[in-house]
Order: sequence, then structure tokens, then C-alpha cells
Amino acid sequence: MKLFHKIFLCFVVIFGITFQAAGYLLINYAYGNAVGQQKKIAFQDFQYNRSILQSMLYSNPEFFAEGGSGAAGISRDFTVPAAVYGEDGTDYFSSLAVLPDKYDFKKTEDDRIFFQILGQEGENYILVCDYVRQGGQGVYLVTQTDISPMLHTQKRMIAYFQKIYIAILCISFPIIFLLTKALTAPIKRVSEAAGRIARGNYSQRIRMEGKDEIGELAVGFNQMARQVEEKVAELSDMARQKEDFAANFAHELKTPMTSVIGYADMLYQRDLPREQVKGAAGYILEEGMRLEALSLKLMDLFVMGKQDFVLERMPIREMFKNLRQGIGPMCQKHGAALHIEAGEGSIYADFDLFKTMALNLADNAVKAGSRDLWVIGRQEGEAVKVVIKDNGRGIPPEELGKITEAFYRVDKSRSRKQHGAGLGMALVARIVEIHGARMEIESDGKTGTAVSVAFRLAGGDREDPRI
Amino acid sequence: MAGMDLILKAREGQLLAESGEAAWEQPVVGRQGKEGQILTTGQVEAVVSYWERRRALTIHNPVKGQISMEESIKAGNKWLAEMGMDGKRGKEEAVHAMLETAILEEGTEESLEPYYSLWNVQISSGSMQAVLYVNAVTGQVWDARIVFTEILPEKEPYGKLRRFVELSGLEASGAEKSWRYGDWMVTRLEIDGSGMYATMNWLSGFNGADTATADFQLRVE
Repeated sequence: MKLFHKIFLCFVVIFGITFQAAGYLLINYAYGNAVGQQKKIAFQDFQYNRSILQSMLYSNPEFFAEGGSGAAGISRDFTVPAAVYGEDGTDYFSSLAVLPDKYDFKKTEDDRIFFQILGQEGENYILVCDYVRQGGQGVYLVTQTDISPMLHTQKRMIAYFQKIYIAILCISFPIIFLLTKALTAPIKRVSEAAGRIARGNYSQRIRMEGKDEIGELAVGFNQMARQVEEKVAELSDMARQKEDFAANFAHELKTPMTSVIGYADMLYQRDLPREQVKGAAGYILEEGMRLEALSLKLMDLFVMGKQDFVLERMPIREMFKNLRQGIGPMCQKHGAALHIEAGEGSIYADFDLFKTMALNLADNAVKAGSRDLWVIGRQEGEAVKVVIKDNGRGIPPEELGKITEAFYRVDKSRSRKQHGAGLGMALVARIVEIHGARMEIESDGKTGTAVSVAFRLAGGDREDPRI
Repeated sequence: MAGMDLILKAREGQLLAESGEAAWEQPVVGRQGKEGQILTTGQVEAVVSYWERRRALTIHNPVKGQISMEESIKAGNKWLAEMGMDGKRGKEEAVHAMLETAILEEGTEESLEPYYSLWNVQISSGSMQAVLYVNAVTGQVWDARIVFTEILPEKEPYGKLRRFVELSGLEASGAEKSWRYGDWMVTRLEIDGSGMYATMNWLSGFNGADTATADFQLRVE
């Protein structure tokens, strides 16, 4: 059942029950009150007619003793139907319409009377009975007060209330309907917005004013929608990157394999001269080494994505002393001069990853034809900046945004010759991320490249910068 | 709605099957009275003022300290004789007396002193019908209305009002003041030491008819 129907039914039921209960209580009170009033009237009727009877007996004490021959005429003296009985129960006179179930004939002159409410053939009466003494004579007087008009009035009142009840219910139905609609409209808007988001419209938001629970729901919904939109965008990016990665990987794999298979087939099919065999084997060897480099780099990338690294506090000077041993031979091989400067300060780092990062950057620099390679580490404020600068051919500025993407290469042909897989900068970017550092690449595309990585300075009790 | 009908029917059945004993509600308290008890002028004035402001009357049985019905009728007859207004009493005499007390508001349970009740004594005999209000403790008549037929009383009721005041147990102050409008005479007499006054309305032979009406009342200014 929809919330609208639940609220509507609740309102109607509660209103109906409350109104009925109030009506019942009111009618019940009025009924009790009316019967109480009728009893008072009946008692007063009895008192009045009692005084008439006493006066009668005062004037003629032997009135009933004379056989009651004149008794029939006394009905005109009484103001209500009445009956008079002797002390022995003799029926002297009666004009009652109903007879009580029993008479409580107590010959006492106290302050108590007997009464009974009776009904007969649709009419109701109050009978009042008491012992009346006058002079030396005592009789029992019973009076009858008709309360039927009062009951008929009560019944008319109940019937009138029922008509009013139905009329008010009919009037209240549309009012409750509109009220419920107004209450549930904001919830419906939230539901519709949720539906649009489910169909892919992640920019959907709800505009709702008000500080009630619905307003809070709208605020919460908008926050959730914003996070969903951001998450979807992030996942889309990741999916796209994975697609690109897979496509590039397949391409990188396919290209050398085609050549390798081609040359291997040639060697297998034909008897070639030694020179041609050497050439083909050399090509197969080169592509094999490139594929090996690719798989190693891929392995590194994969491991970095899965492993938790513990960063240790390390002085820059020590780290750079070690770097010289790794980068030196590389520079020598390519005929580049290495310049290392290490300042004071320490950072939190995984040395193996740091070295991998530095070697990749140095490798790119020397492959770009640098004659000089500067590796500088110095403290700048709250950070330690590691700068690897070269004077090679540089990177065109328009390519700077893409070079950290996996398999991206500025010059594909030269890179392939140099066994480049296009994964070096992706590795560097991942290592920078693991260390919680920030990388900046500057290049004009002509006179060289400067890569700066800013690590947070390790203080006396400084915690892991990634936290 | 059917449920409500059922409940109301049950309640109606309960109300309309009630029976048992009930106590008489006595608007006055019983006191041990002395024979020939006299009320002060202040007490008389309080009762007269109370009766003038009444919203309803309640009939009740005499309580301790109040005179009986016979005594009230005797007191009424005695008053008529004293006033010289008992006319020609016939054999067929009808008497009716009932004890009443004034009520200022319905539902109030104020218990009054026994002298707040008055016997309403109606005597009808021969050429006279009288309605007298007799105090339930002292037996004095404080209000009277008498209609005469056939035998008319004296045309000029001199001294009647003063006599009424004396029989009420009060003292008159000053002389009677009378106004006459044809057959109708209105007389007023101040009561000494109070804010009360007595009035008499005397209508005799109106339009030549053989009837006369005498009204005696105690009022509060």
C-alpha cells in the first residue's frame, strides 16, 4: 500500500473514531443528565401529590375507610397518574399505566423513597412509592411520571448526531485527501528524482525548502546523488583507463610478436645466409628484451597496486649516495654527465621504490639525448624537493598532461628502438602517489625537462605523510 | 457507527432499568426548635429577600424544628380569623398545604436554616379562596392572597395592613401610605429597623362585580 493511502486511511480512521468517541461521550453525558433531571421531576411530582393526598386525609381522615367510593373521583386532584394502597396492600385507587415489578412496602417514615424506571409498549415511566401518614391513618402512594418525551428527544438527538457524523465525514474526505497529498508530494519528488538517477541522470538534484524531516531527506538525497555522480565519474574514468590500458597492452604485445613470429617463421622456413640469420635473430632478441622490460614494468605496476608499503625515515644524503651508484653507469653508458647535490633533511620513503622512480626518470632523461643530468635534493620549507633535470630534447608542453598514462610515449618509434614500453612515467606517478608526494613536470619541448617531486619533510615526531 | 449504536443501546438499557431507594434531598437542615419561636427582623428580611430572588421552588417534607401540615393549616385559619377575612365558611372546605423552599440556582446544594421554608396553604371554603404562605418555624403568615365572592369584606380596609405586619411578628414604622385608582387601592407600610416594607393591594367590586381580592406581601427595598 502506498504511503499516501496509508496516511489517508490513518487520518480518516483516527478522525472517524475520535469524532464518534466524542459524540458518544457527549450523548452519554446528556442522556445520564436527562434521566437524572427526570428523576428529580418525578420526585417533585410525588411530593406535590403527596401533599394533595395528605390534605385530602386531613380534611377527611376516613376517606379511604369509607370503602373508597369517592376514591375514583380523586384522580382529578392528582397531577399525575397515581395509585393509593392501604397498609395491608388494599388497592384503594389506581390510574397507573404500568405496574411496578414489586412494591417495597416499608411502613417507615424516613427520608428514603422507592423508585423504579419502567417501560411498556414504547413508553417509559418513573414510578415513585412511599408511605404517607396523616393523622392516624397511613397509606402507600405511588405516582407515575412519563419520561417518554425525554427519551424521544434523546433518540432524535442520536439520529441527528449520526446525520452530522456522516455529513462531516463526507466533507472531511476531500480535505484529508488534499492534506495527505500536500504531505506526501515532497516524498514523491524525492522518489521521482531517485528514479531519474537510476536511469542514468546523475546530475539530478531536489530543490526543497524547509527544515523539517522532508527537507533533511532532500539534503541527504542531494549529498548522496552528488557522491554517486562523483563515484560514477571516477569509475567511468577507471574503466576507460583500464580499457585503454588493455588496448595499449594488446597493441604493445601484438606489434613485436608479429615481427618476432615473422622473423622466426622466416628462420624456420628457409635456409638463410649467416648474416641474415644474425639480423633476424638480433631483431627477435631486441623485441624479446623489450617485451621482457614491458612485463617487468607491468609486474612492478601490478605489485604496487596490491601491496601496502611501509615508509621509513631516511636522510637525503644517504639516499643520494646510493643513487649515484645506480644512475652513474647509466649516464656513463649514454655519455651523459651526472651532477648530484644532496642537502640536509629526511623524508619518509621506501628506498627501493624511490630508487626505481629516480632510475626511471634518469633513464628517460638520458634516452632523450641529455648531455647533463642533474639530480638535486634540497629542503624547501616543510618539504624536501627532489629534482631530476636534463638538457635533452624535452617534452612538448601539450603532451605534459598525458605522459603519466600507461603506454603513452611522446616519440613511439624512438622509444621502441630503445626498448621503451611507455610505462616508466606511469610507474613514477604511482610511486609518487604511494609516498604522498606531489610531482611537477616542466618542459618547453626543446631545451630539456625538469621533474620535481616534493616529499613532506620528516620532523622529529612526524607521522606517515600519507595519513 | 453500528458499534456506537450498540453501546448507546446498552447504556440506555442500563439507565432505563434503574430502580432502588433514593434519599430525599432536603434543602433545609433540621434544628431543635422552641415552641413559639420568634425570628429577628434581620432573619425575616433575609428570608423575604431570598424568596424574592428565587429561580425555582422545591417541595419537601418537614424537618426537625418545622411545624407540621396540620399546624400550618391551623395557623392559616387563625390568621384569617385575626384579619377578619375568613368570610362565610361553608361545609365543603378544601384544604391543601405543601412545604416549599426557594432555590436560587438549580443544582446548588446550599443547606438553609429551617425558617427559610414556607407552607403554601390553600383554603377554599364557601365564598372565600385563600393562598397563604406560612413560615415553617414560626407559623406566621408572610404572604397572602384572598379572593372573596358573594360576601364582600368592608370596602375600605383600614388598618388591615398594619394588622398584617403585627401578625408577621414585625413592627411598623410611620403611617400607612395609600393610593387609590378607582376600585383598586394600594397601601404601603415601612417596617421598623429594616429595609422591608409591607404592601396591600385591595381590589373591590371591579366593574361592579361581586368579587374582591386582597393581596398582602412583605417586600425588601
